[in-house]
Amino acid sequence: MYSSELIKGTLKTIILKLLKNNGKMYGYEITQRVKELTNNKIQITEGALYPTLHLLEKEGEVEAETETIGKRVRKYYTITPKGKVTVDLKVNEFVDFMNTMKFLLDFELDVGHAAK
Amino acid sequence: MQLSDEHIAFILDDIKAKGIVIEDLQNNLLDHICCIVENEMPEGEDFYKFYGCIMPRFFKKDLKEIEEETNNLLTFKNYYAMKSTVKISGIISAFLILSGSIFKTMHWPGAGFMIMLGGLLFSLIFVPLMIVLKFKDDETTTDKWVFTFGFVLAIVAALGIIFKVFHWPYANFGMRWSVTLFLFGYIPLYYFTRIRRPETKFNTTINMVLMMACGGMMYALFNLHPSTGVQESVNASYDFMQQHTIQVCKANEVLYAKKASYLTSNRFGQSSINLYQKIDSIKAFLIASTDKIPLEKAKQISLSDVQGVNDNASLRNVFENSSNEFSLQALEREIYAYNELVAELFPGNQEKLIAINQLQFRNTILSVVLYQLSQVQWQVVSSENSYLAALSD
Repeated sequence: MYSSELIKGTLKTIILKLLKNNGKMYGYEITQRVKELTNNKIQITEGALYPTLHLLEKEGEVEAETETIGKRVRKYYTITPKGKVTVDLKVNEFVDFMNTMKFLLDFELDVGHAAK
Repeated sequence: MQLSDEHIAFILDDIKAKGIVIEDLQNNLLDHICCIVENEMPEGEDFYKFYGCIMPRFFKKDLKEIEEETNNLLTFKNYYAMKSTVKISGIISAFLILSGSIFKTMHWPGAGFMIMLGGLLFSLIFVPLMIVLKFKDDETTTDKWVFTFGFVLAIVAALGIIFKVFHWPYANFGMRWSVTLFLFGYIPLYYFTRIRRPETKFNTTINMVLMMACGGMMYALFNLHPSTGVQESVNASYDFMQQHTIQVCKANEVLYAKKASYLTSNRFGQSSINLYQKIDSIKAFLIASTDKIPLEKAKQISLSDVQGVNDNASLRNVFENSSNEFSLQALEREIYAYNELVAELFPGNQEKLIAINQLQFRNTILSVVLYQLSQVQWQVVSSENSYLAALSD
């Protein structure tokens, strides 16, 4: 399992990407899907998930619809067109970041890449 | 496991009791917990025991953290927007006030507008936002309140200055009180709350000296009365006008004495005498009310002996905002009636009309009002004199 510091910076990207690929999802479903896809290596905590979902909703990156199930209300989230643009930018940024980190932390010393 | 309504009600109540206020978040958490129970609770396990076990995974210390984190995230963006608004409004207001002051010194048009806009931006956007930001900072509560007190004084002072520039009422009140409280309230508070801290000791002393200097200068600039020279020249002009008015009055009396019919048969003469006497009684009333002296004494007094020549507060009460027989309202009624008669008797004779709109009776001091009242008297007796002279030819 990765540390929460590592996950925190990428949480928005993870949520938006999941919503982009899977259509509408609710909170618990998101945590479970992440667990499943990463073999339990990434576990999104509820304490981080819901504040981020609220922020994404306020920023207009996702929109929510509610469904009443018995005595409780379930909130489904879907990505908006704005969110789709953001997620592509974020994924690209993250890939770039990983490449930079790879070089910085000297996993593979790639001089040609560094000179670029 | 299928959750019963009681279980759901229990979870919701617990979430609420643990400090989650945002309804959306309550619903999120309720559904999430229900999902965990439905999917992860082993067969035959007690619901309440399982609930107790899963709750800690939602927080580090308590459940309220989620709500706080949500609020922080939601206000974080505002925080940056606020900071940039503070910067922009600060720069614009400083620019406007400085340019406005230069324009004012050079008597160029637009100065008042610039100062007002700059001052309003400063006092209604820049400083209030600074207060909000101050409360978000990690400073001590004492510091937050001390600075807030200072900021509120800055708002009052800035509004006072705007009011002063536009000659609006209560400007002196705002300016005087804000600077007094700044000098004798804020600066000592600032000094004593910071001087004991080694890291702020030096800066505190420097800032205090600078603030004392600025506050002191502001205080010195608030000599809100006309200078002695100006006052004396107003007194001299008033006395001069009084004397000449009285001389013309006497000349008129001589003319009236020549022929009794001048007085009885002419409406203009009657109206002139009425208005003249009305103004005399208003002047005496205003002096008596301001200086708190008997009416009879007020009738005899010269302007240089009136104590409250620079008064505007009691003037506002007894003259501007009053409706008695000595009020501005009553005077205006008389002047309108006089002007109507002039227009009827001397059509096309504009110079006999009293230009009431050009007289400054509002938002001013007693000496200015008295001087202008005398000016009206002078015009009335002069017009009366030329009329009588024409009759006797």
